[in-house]
Amino acid sequence: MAKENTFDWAAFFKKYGIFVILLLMVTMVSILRPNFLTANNIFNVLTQSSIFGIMALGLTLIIISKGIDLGAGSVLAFSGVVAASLAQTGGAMGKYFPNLPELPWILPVIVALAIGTLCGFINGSLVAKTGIPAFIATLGMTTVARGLALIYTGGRPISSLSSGFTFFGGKVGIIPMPVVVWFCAIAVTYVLLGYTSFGKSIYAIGGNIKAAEVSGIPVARNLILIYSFGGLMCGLAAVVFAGRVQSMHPGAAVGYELTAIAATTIGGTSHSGGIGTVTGAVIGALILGVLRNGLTLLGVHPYWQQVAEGVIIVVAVIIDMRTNASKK
Amino acid sequence: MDAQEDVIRQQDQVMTMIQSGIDVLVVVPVDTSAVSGIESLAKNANLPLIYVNRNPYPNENAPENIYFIGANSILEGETQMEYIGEKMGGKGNIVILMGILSNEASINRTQGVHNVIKAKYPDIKVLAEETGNWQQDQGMTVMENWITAYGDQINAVVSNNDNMVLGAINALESAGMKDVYTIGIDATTDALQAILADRMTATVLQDPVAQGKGAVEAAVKLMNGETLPAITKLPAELITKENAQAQLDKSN
Repeated sequence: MAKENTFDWAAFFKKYGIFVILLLMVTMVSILRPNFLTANNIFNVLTQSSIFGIMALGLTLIIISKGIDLGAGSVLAFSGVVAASLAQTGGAMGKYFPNLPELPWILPVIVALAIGTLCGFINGSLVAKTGIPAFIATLGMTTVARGLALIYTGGRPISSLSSGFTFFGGKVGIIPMPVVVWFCAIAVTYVLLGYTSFGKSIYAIGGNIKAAEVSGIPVARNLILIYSFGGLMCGLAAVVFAGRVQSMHPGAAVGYELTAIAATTIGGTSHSGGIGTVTGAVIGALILGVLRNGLTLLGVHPYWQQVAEGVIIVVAVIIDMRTNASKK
Repeated sequence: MDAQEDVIRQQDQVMTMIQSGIDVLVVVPVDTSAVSGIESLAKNANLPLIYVNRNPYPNENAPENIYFIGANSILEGETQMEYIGEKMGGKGNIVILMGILSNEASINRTQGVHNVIKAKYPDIKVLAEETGNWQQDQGMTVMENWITAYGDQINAVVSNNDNMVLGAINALESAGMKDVYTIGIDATTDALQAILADRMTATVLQDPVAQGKGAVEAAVKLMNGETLPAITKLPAELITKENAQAQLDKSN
């Protein structure tokens, strides 16, 4: 009986290694700081993880296809500032478009999603049609989109956003909307990746692009779709970001793509392509969210927080790789 | 030229400018602890160098032919804490939101806050300090976590800039904490409006227009062969509800 029990645990750990790491972290912080496990704080962690969590969903598809998107933070900022300029309240002071009446919330939301998707489309086209490495194509997008955000705003933040637009960053009762948006995006990505032929083709492209071509997968078209989806997620993250902060700064979200890439990687998505899950990206994002929240609750000095964050990320990936390797 | 907070890019830009034939070099240093490259370039070209806004020589020991014009970061922090300490009646707890940890402004503004607490307010305790990297959303995230950790113990938020404290105010408002004093630096339009709407306590002005003007005037003086003090510090002005409207009118 006892033997059976240990056997079960080992199997469980092998299958859910990264999940066990998250639970361990949650348990440790909860013991040291009981107020970690309050409903309010749990919602805080989920909300704080939602922006890079949403970006990590797009990056999961991209990284499975053996690509990368270094421009995600800049695309978030650019789509965010343009959307915010169309979402200001009627009588706001120093408006971007002084004579523009308050538009219905759906318009700026569509604009954010469209600009994000367009940037992703450009990334995807560059990767698929010119054959330049995704690293370079999206590195270009990093500075282009950031530059456009600065040009568009003249470097100034855009605030006084309408309540309809900021709804997606606020709360309904105690339920934070960023978390709701994130969960919806998780569901869509989960189905897209796991239950469509498009999703399966992403694994094929990342596993062996030549073989994928030979087997009749429209590789170029699908790569463009993959990056467009990544861009769409940046646009969605921008809506949540602007709603949460109630303003949009052209310098916002610098380096967020690295957090999103870290979340995806911690979740077990392999940079050598062909391997990765949506669940992994979600757990990876939560690990980062719990880590940052936990370190603040524990009162760790800010210099040491950065050291601890880096070490824990690397250790988590090593443990996960070992459990994955022992599976085979 | 915009170096986008990149030390190496800035050095390359300085090199390009020197080659294009200039008389005085005016630089807002990206990293105040990594200026030796720029300085040797200026020295080799025998050009005077004026730093604006960020001061690599807070101890006032700048080498020859190098000048600084800008705000005094320590004084800004001190101005913040003098006012907030007075508002708090000399006792209670504060939290400090810091900018990017390696920036001169983060280190010295925070130092200024500590200076005043040490000298004048022994009964005020710093519960925590953490970086929000100058960003509003990160200020909000850190504040949410502090509210969980310290709750009603927090009497004031002292922030290295307005952006982060505006984020903290979002967090405080959604937690229903209305009696917490909040102060930033920069007097941004959003901050001034928040002060006028009674959402924020005060800010400290670091006047970018005066800095730019000062830098140009200094450059002209040097080109005319006049002498210049090594360090010119502009005063730190406290902006509360009384003078916020005037400042808002001026900046628009």
